[in-house]
Amino acid sequence: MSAELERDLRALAVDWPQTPDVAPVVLARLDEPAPRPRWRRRAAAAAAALAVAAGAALAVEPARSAILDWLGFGSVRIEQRPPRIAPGARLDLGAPVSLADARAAVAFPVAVPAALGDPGAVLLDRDAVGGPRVSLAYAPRPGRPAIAPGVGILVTQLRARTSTAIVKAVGPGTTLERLTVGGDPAIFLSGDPHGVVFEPAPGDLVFEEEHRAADVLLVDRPDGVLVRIEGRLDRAEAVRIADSLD
Amino acid sequence: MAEPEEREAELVRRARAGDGAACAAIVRAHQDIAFRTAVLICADAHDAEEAVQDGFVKALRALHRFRDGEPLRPWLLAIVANEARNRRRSAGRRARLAAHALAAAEPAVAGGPEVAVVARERSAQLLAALDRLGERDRTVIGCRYLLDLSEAETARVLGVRPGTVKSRLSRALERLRGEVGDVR
Repeated sequence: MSAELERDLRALAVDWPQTPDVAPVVLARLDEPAPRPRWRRRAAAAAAALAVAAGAALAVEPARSAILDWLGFGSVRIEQRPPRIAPGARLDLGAPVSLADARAAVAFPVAVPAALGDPGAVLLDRDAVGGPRVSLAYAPRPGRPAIAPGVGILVTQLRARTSTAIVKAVGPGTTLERLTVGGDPAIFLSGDPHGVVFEPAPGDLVFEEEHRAADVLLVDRPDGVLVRIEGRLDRAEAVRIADSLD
Repeated sequence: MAEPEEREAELVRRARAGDGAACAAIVRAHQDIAFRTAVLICADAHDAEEAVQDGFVKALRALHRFRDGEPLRPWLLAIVANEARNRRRSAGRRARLAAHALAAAEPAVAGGPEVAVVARERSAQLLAALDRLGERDRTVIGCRYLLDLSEAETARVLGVRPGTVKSRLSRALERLRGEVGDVR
């Protein structure tokens, strides 16, 4: 019986659906920028719980427009955003969500730096000026001092480019270095708190003043995503984190 | 004339260097078996096509991770099968193998010229019974008997250790036997 069944199976004439020639589509897709591979969940090492709340928008001080004038942005449209984290204020980075939900909610690939492991919190700000953004927050720990209550490193991603106007936004106490990370153009800002300027669309500038005493690495990814890594980091460590984005 | 293994190694080397013609040659050499494997798993030609496309794109992008000296086909099939499993839909949408059965005058892929042509009735009965099996059983039987994959290749498709294929196959055949018995 068994031999008979196996023989009959081997002899089965299956009229398979015609195989489509996928070569042209595959070749075309190979030319597109690779999507970020899905992040593989690691054994979660007791991720620190971060108390996060959507903070109320802070009033824009009149002084800000003076700063903007000084920056010489008179001729371009500037959307202004209150300081994201004022000293002692609560985080205002959006709603805490799961990584999967954040990925489903935004139209760009969200990468996770393998060098940092599981983020303590994933925050989605759908209404951010310049478009939705996702922030990965990592708790402070020895050697990684807090830059905001409960946050040691913050990795923010949004669809935007760095802007040449950033040069004007950094103050005299800030050092700006241009570098590349894995071949992608990047800017490392260190020193005094400073402003950041980026372009969600060409010519559309968004200025954000940083009140966090943090060093910042901005990376222009080839898929159009701007990655901002903030923390008390030296350049090498910031680059190592950016390099591990997966 | 280079041996098939050497030709394949050369294609892999060129594809890694970004040679589009080599990429296309790899796809065309394996898309038939890849598509049929995906059809077995998805039981849906449309899902299977998507799985094959995505699988080849991922495989060609990950070609630097392919271990030289190993055969390419099992590695590709493992990636495509994984994509196919991710796409498997509810049983309601399944395009059944039986619906595709039997029009072909020639024996299936598995058959050599010496294979006896099974009576139409028996074939229809077997295919209908295969369709009633779960995806796991259908896939292991399909890989071994309809696609004529080796045990090692079947293991890659199923994502199990080679030693597991035998026991899975024998359990699947047992259930198929039960199904065939039911309809007799």
